Amino acid sequence: MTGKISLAPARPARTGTIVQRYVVVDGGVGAHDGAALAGLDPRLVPVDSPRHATLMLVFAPIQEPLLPALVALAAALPAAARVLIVAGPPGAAGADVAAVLPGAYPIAAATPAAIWIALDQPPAAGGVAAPAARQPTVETIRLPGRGEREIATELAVFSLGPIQPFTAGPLRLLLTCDGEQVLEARVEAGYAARGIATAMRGATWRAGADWARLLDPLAPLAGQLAYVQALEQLQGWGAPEPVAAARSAVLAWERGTNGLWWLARFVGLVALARPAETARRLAVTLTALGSALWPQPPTAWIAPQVTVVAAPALLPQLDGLRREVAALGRQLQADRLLGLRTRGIGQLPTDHPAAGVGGPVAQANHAATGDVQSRLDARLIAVTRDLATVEQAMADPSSSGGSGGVPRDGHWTGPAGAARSTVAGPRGPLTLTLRSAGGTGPTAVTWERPSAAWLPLLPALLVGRRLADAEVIVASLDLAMAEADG
Amino acid sequence: MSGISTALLVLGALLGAGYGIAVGEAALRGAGPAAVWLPLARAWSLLRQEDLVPRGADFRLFRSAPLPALVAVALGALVIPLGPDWIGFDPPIGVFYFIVVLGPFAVGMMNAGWSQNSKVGLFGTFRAAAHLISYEVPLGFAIIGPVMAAGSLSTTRIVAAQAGLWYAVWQPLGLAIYLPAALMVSFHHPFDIPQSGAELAGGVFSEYSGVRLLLWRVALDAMFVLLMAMGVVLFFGGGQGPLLPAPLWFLLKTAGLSAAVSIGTRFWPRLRQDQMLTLAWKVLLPASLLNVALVGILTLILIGGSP
Amino acid sequence: MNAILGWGLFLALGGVTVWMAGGMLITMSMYRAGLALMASFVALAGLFVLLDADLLAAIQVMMNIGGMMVMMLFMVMLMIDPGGEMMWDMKRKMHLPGPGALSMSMPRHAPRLPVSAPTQPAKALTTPVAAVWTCPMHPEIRRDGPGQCPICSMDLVPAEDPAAAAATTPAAAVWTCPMHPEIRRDGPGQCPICGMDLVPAEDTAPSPAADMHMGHTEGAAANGAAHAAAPPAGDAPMTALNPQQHYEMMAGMAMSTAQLPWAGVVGAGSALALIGLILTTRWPVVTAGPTGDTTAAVGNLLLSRYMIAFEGAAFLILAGIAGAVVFATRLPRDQSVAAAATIPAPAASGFAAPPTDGATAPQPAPVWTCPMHPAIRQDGPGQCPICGMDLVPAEAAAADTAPAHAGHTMGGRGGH
Repeated sequence: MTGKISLAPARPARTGTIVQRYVVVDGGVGAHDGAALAGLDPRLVPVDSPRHATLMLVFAPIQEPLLPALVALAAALPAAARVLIVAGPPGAAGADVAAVLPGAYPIAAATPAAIWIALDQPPAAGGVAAPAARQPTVETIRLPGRGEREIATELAVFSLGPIQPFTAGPLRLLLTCDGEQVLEARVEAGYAARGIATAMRGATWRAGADWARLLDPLAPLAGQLAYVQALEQLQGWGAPEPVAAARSAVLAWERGTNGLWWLARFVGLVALARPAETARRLAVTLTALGSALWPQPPTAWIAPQVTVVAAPALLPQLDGLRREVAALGRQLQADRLLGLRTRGIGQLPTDHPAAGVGGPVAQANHAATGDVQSRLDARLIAVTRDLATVEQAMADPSSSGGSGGVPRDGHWTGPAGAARSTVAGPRGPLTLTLRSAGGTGPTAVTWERPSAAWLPLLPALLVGRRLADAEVIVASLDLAMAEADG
Repeated sequence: MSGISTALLVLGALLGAGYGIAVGEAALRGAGPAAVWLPLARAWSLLRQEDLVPRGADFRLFRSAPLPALVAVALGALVIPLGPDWIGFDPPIGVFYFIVVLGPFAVGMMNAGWSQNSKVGLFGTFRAAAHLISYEVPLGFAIIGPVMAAGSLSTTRIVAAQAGLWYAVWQPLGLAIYLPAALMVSFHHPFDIPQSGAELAGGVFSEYSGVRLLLWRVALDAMFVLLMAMGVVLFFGGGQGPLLPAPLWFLLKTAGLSAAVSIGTRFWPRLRQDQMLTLAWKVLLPASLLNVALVGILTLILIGGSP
Repeated sequence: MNAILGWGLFLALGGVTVWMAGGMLITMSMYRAGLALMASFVALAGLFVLLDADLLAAIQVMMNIGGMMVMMLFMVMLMIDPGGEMMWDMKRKMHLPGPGALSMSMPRHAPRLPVSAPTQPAKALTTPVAAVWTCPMHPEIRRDGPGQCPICSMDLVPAEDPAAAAATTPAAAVWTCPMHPEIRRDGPGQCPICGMDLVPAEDTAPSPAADMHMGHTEGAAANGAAHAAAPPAGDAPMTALNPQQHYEMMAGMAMSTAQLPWAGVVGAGSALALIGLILTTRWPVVTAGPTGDTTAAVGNLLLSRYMIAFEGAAFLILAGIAGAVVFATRLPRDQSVAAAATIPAPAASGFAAPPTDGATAPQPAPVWTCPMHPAIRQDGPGQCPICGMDLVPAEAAAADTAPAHAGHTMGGRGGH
């Protein structure tokens, strides 16, 4: 993911169309790349509706349940519109999108350069094919009777998703609305279900690490680290101080990146133009800084018993970035106008079943009123703190210039036993439990994840709220649908 | 000035205004020098795009919906005096006529949302209707201030009456009421709830594509500029100014006001429907009544009892 | 020359005024009724302009556009027809004649028949006795009995053998959304755009983009059959309505419901009385002329004549509304529902209405459903939130509509 973002807009290739308006369909991994694209090239304009678009970007992998919606969206594009499929992270399995969208063209990454080059290619022949057969389901929405309401207004069932931001893809909310007010909400999840625990059970120890990166595709390092730590527990190996510090630094960097991307998308959702641009720029910078901080990609050195950690300290850049983030945070926290859209909505019930789950959402609930604004504040504080953590780790020579060492043989083995490791991911603690019988792979894998814990609370949060607030509340929870669906 | 030349002038002004606003928006987004040609390229790509009508839609209403909006803008533009003699149509009830012809714009928005036969469009329709009933009263009362001070409904006379002092100077409250009301009329950013609320996927325009979407863009941008131009007429002395000819002054002032408002609104989040209604009915309306009283007193003091 | 132009304009505007006012009464949608009334008032304002009463015209336009918008807003919100389109759509699909956008004309003759009845394979009436239960979203979850999915906590459904499922569902059936024809799926479900339940579509055009070009007329042929098939009340094609039935059906769909003839008589009588009142008195505007002293002339005009017209029109509308309310509430609630259900006469089996009539009170049904939208189920009579049609008792329909999926009809968290 880190390699996909380029800071400078690419030079345009020769192309027939000067401006492209695009919509994004996200299979669960493309939230950050999609948000990054919005400002990289002024000739790529994001639009709200597929009817307005000349281009549809599909962030693979798309799981099979989402295919019908995808085909429907592609069919809603005006004539001569193109579909580009952005390749997902390596190893991610999904349905064959190209089979149902024969005219689609695959690209490797959602960069302006790749998009313009792909658009120069002649479109493949063939229209939109019918989606793959799916087990039919009849969903029933029972509407409250007229007598039960004060004014017998007409109810309408309104669907959030699959094109609205933050529900762009695998989250579908069916809201029964009385005018602008949500009377009842129903969550349809499962569109991004990959059965990842099952896949890990059948994989080798080594391949399990690749799967673990996909646990939460928006936070691959957290998943991988949880897996590696669990494996190290099985092996009875404790990470020495420099390794642990380096790992916590890279984890903090990932949390910060996620937090900034969330901020950019969230502030963009309420159309606060200026801060959204600032947040997006900071997020792009921090993402790019990651590849500069760790020349060897963290995914390569987060492995069991690997002690090689060498990171150049880019203290001035980090420090400047942290100051800018802090300034933006202060500005947003004090912004009374933004508060119009964030205060007093989306309070979690105090006795909610997911009380034990951590993360910014839970922190907001403990520390403050637990409304959307408090979640925003909590994230802003967390991002600043995470950046400070990275900076501190970089400043500490013991962790940045760690001594070299070669892992001993057989570090990709799992002795018999059970291990449970928890990692502080961007959305909350990610807990992975591995059971091993000493074979080539785990015999049982279970994981607990924050988004899945918040997801069932959504209906209670949305009922009684305005339609416009519903999207803001959903956004404030920062659900990673791929993670929530498992 | 003959009718045809007036019509052409109005058309040109509208297209120019739409272009100017689009350039400004692109520049604010950080497009750099490309902002100059990006709107043209965007318009070109919209022109080339298929103009599709969803099959379940109310065919004629869907296709004709931009027309009331464009007609509203064109008719409204007729009473804007660019200079002493630069006016398409100068009725004695000019300002009132202006408020009246704004109505079809919201009707066009409602038609657009309703005719497309989708839930998002229907919600957009509700919101557009709520817009009209909330902007009308504050806008009217805000305009009454200059009308009282000038003693006339005619736009040319209101401009002429500001020869000594702009009304913006001694009716700042009126200006402060007029601007949000104008933003509501033109469905501009903090009040662009019917067409671009994130939850509505384009709202009243969600099914539009191609040239009709372009027509809507032009209508929205031109409406915004039109209301800023009326703001210049009402509060900033129209085309009056030293050295430069009146039309140039007028265009400069309009561009300046448009830019200031566009930049100012970037610090606002998109308001919710109920917040817009609250603002209109609980804040702007009482404030506009207060403004009428204040302006009455000040008019007596500044101008004297006999207008 | 000017006189001819003036007369031409007067007649044109007057014609539009009257035509639109009539259209307001007979149009089938609240929204169109509001639009028609708005157009009527704007044309009336044009008449004011002809009479040199500019200010009055401006007031007329401003007040009425605002007023009509509020009216439209409340009517659409409070009464029937979200989207306002279902009636229009139904009319179009049933080949009912009538002009386009305002759809004002009442039918005079029976409609042409749909070309052919759809041949839906009979669906199996038995729910497969499943040994394995699975989650609709997570097929990897397989349990021995019913319960909830551990991932998404949806209710588990019996896992169907794919081969058996293919045998029970029509192989080539494509399901589409009544609102979004571009949505095409292989099985029933909900529209990803609007969340409505999908209905079987007949045409399987390979390119939905091409479909979307088709306007109302072209699309009608293909969709008419599909629409008739949606509530599978019987295998018979929709039979011809005789003019009386047809009139009753259209009158039932028009906004003023069964009181339409009465309203027409009362309205026409009042209008004639008003016109007589105005014509028999002297017209001050003729003598006033376009002098500089227009305010006095306008004031006189307002006081002497136009107030009659204004108040008369307002009275007419109020009387119409009051009449509709009084007439409509005279019937007990259940009977009125039953009466509404019989408007499509039993011969018109395209409506899946249960064979009840107004004389015999319907059995108190535990569940009521919409003839068009079987997914709508509520405990008492009322109106369909999707199309605004009156709900009908569900026993018969429930057995017919979704037998193959009876197992998961009430699944999910929908139990409210």
